[in-house]
Amino acid sequence: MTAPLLELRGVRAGYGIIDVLHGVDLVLEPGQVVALLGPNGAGKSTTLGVASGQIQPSAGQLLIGGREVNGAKPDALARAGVCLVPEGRGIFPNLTVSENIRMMTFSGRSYIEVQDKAYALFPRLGERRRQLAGTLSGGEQQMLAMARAMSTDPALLMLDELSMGLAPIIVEELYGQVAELASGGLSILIVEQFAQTVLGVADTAAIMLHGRITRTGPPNEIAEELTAAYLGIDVGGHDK
Amino acid sequence: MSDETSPRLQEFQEQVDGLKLSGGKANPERTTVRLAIALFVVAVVLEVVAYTGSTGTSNALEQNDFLILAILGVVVALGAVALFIRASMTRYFRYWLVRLIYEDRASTDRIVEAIKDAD
Repeated sequence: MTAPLLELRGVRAGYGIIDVLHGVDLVLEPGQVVALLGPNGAGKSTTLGVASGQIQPSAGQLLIGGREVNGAKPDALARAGVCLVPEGRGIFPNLTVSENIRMMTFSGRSYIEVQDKAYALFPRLGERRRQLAGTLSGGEQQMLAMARAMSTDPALLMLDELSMGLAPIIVEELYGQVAELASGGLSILIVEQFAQTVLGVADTAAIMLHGRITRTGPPNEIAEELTAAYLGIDVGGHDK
Repeated sequence: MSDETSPRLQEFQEQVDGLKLSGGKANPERTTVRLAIALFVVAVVLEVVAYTGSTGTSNALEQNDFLILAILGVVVALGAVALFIRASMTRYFRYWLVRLIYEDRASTDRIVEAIKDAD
């Protein structure tokens, strides 16, 4: 595969008649980890919604593996290997851990297969397989969401606000897992509001403000500019 | 960067290439609403033509033709209204469903929190 795994070209999208994205350009190469950072309301989750096929762009192109896939159904993309772990984890709180994992057999993989993969990745879930997912700790719920995602063997993993509501030590543990997945060659697009941990994992980072990507670059450079970008201060002549 | 020719990526590429695309739309009801408005305009034109035509002749047979044209205009107008209502309701119920799902999730979260607090 020579084309980028995921590419957004001039994407505009929103909800009803309200546009949230005003021409987003983003590239994710195979095996790359890209961190998309920005304050609340910048359009980060909407970008993931477009990339996963849940929100149709009103203009621009969504390309996966070099092919324009505007209009592809989200379930078809999910079956192909585009996997989104949504903000708020997206688990079924009133099902047990093992039942949540069983839901991932939609991908055509056997229950044994998805179960083995999930528990190998997060052994703690194996110990709690009969527990209701809603009664797990926040970190364990996030582990369950990630385990569910990984059990389908995705080619492209998108994580929305992995750290939301979690203690720093748990966030570090989860990002350790993400780094391990990335070292295995998985392409990952991470959306985060608070960036310090994710910048240690990413190959490239992008800042998103008001529905546009205003800056893309190496994580160390982006880290310096991030605070200024959040506060709307012009740094080094970069477009804000 | 990983090995770019890994079997998983090849499989992924094949699956993406095999996707059937419908040319999705951000606002799927937009076309229906536009069609309904266009039909309504056509209906109004038909009524105006029928009215001016029928008042411009004293021949009963010609007036019958214009009467039929007027009835056709009413039918087209009713169809346009039905299409418009259908599209509007679809959009309304879609947002309603999203709202229900959102509230259901929030409610579940509150229950889970309450159970945790009780423990």
